[in-house]
Amino acid sequence: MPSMQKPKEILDQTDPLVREIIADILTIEKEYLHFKNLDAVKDKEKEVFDKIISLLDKRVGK
Amino acid sequence: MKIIALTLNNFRQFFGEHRINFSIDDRRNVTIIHGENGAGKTTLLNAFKWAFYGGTDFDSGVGNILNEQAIGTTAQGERIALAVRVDFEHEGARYTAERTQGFTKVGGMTVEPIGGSVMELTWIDADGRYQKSSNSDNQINQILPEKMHSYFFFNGERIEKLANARAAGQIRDAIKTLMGLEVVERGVGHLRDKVVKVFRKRWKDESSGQLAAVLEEEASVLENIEAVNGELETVRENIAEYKEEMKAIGTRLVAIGASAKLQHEREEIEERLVGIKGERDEATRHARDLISERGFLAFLDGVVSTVDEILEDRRHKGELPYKIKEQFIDDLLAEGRCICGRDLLPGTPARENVESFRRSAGSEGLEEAFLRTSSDLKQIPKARVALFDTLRANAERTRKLREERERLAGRLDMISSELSKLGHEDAAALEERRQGLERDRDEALRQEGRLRDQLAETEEKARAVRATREELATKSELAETTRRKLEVAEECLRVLQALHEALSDQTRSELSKRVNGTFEKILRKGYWAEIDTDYALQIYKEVGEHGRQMVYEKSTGESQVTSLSFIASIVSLAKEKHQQGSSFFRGGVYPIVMDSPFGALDPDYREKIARYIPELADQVIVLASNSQWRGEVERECGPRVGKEVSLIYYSPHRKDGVDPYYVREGSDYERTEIEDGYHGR
Repeated sequence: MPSMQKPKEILDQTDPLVREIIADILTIEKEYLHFKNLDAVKDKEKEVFDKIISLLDKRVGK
Repeated sequence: MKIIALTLNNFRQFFGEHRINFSIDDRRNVTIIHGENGAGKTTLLNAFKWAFYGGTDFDSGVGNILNEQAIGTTAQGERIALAVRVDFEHEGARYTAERTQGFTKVGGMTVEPIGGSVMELTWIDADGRYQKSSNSDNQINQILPEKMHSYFFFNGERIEKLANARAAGQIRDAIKTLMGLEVVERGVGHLRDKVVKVFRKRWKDESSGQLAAVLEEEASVLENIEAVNGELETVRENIAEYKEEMKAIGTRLVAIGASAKLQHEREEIEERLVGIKGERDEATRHARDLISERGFLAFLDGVVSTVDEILEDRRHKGELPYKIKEQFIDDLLAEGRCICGRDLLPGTPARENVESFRRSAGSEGLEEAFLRTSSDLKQIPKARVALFDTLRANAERTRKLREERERLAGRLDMISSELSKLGHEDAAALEERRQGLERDRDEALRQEGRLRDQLAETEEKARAVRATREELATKSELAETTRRKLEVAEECLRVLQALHEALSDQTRSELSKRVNGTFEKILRKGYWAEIDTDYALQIYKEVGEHGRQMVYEKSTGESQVTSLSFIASIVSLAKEKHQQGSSFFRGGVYPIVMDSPFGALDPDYREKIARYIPELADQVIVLASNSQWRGEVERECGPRVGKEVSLIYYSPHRKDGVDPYYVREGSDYERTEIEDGYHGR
């Protein structure tokens, strides 16, 4: 089995903009994984999508 | 999470309120709860489960977890309260989880629940402020996920199932959940299932003509890939289940005296078939490497003789090797004197003569090449013969392995037929069921192959559609920003998927090493443990010339040791990751609560489990009978015990052969009292 790339190697090879967006996506995911935000799971899932879409809208091409 | 106390009120045999305080000392981190059979050890394990998640492992309904004495001594129409409270520390805060359930006594020993049970979670945070959760069930699941609960609160006599291949899914989930990889996993899911689709649709809406059509086709192909992946997952789960059930049938056939011999033979053959497959794969690899490195020799037969003829002809004509060397002439010219003694002054006919020899003299490089080629040519026929000999031997070995495989496969058919005709009703029925499973498994394996091909084909199509999309996109200035957003979203998805895979593999590999380290300390045989790339917890051993072989049949004790090694290792790795504070791994500190963990183990294993588990976990709570505790377990665990509690069981019936301090008779109701300390010494 070929040896798998290490997480750091993957991030090092990633475009800085993509890396920053990924960090922001993980922050959103962490925030929404937290109990306080899970009162109504379905609505919160939509909030997560909307936040990520809005993040990309803001960070790319403007 | 460290458990501080458990308080029970009318839960099962605990009438009224009872509290157990646990050791939270870092060094003396073991709490031992002594109790004879029936005293309530398993009840305590279930009390944690009920308090946190509202369920128990008891088959009976909610009414039957209410204490009998509480029912019996309450007047009809009155209310009875059932409650379990767990006080614990978690990440610097002190929490209280309390689940309550009200009942109304209907009559006799019958009660009606009042609504459902309710859990309230409160805590004092690091700044000393009181907090109350608005969603206790979700919050407790964040602290200790319900699906992980059985890793930390378990019945030691039933944990061996973790050490079978079917538990691979559980192990993968455990790794991801405890290490916090679900954050990355959720990111992948949200990007793949929604975000990328949204941007692709936006781009399609903003585009026209061919590009819009290609974007639509791409969306359809990607949906197809998702569907095939889903089907593949289901088929693979089915295959694992078929295999597991076949294994269980095998165990039952061994238990039936009449079929034991045939089943043992079948297992030996199946093990050998796995070995044959390994040997055939190795032979194929060897042949492939040989052809790749030396296969050219096979085509050199004519070339060798042609080159040899050319060189021989040159040799015959005296052209090779050279009679006069280039360097020799150069030396004469540099010295300015011929070997005959004449001066070789510039411009003289003598010098011109010698210089003309230089033009026909041979270079040393060419001479060396000639000598080397002549020498190599002599070796080539020998190397060629050796290549053919090795390939023939390899082919012969493969042929023998194929014949052995066919012979063994034939014998397996005969064994199956013999088992069906044994005349033993149970064995015949089991064999019939096994044959059905074998057919289902084979069909599922074929389906898996078809789906794999379909997936590869669809992925190829997706790559082609994407290439077309990119080509068309470069020609279109319209919707440029949306295209860029889609590309960035796709790149985020690709990187997160790669990260998820790399982080999972890194954790699996770290955990595998840790499990093996613990396993080797405990298991005395020359075995080793591994969490393989499919997340199955496997045991291997070295078998002579067959090399590394998987251990299929483990004793109950060995399976329990394997499972305990896994649990202790995951608890210790989760703690380490938590302390490191990595941005990807959450980790955490978790207790281990074990009910009768030493039951099926022999003294040697008991001693080692008792020694190593408290070293790996921050807090260990052991529920054990006196006979399970005494001896090697007490000797090893004793110095780490920070708290001892006894369960005193009051029975309406006389019980013989039990410690009279721990089991007392003469109570109208079956009940258990809790006392601090140990009275069995």
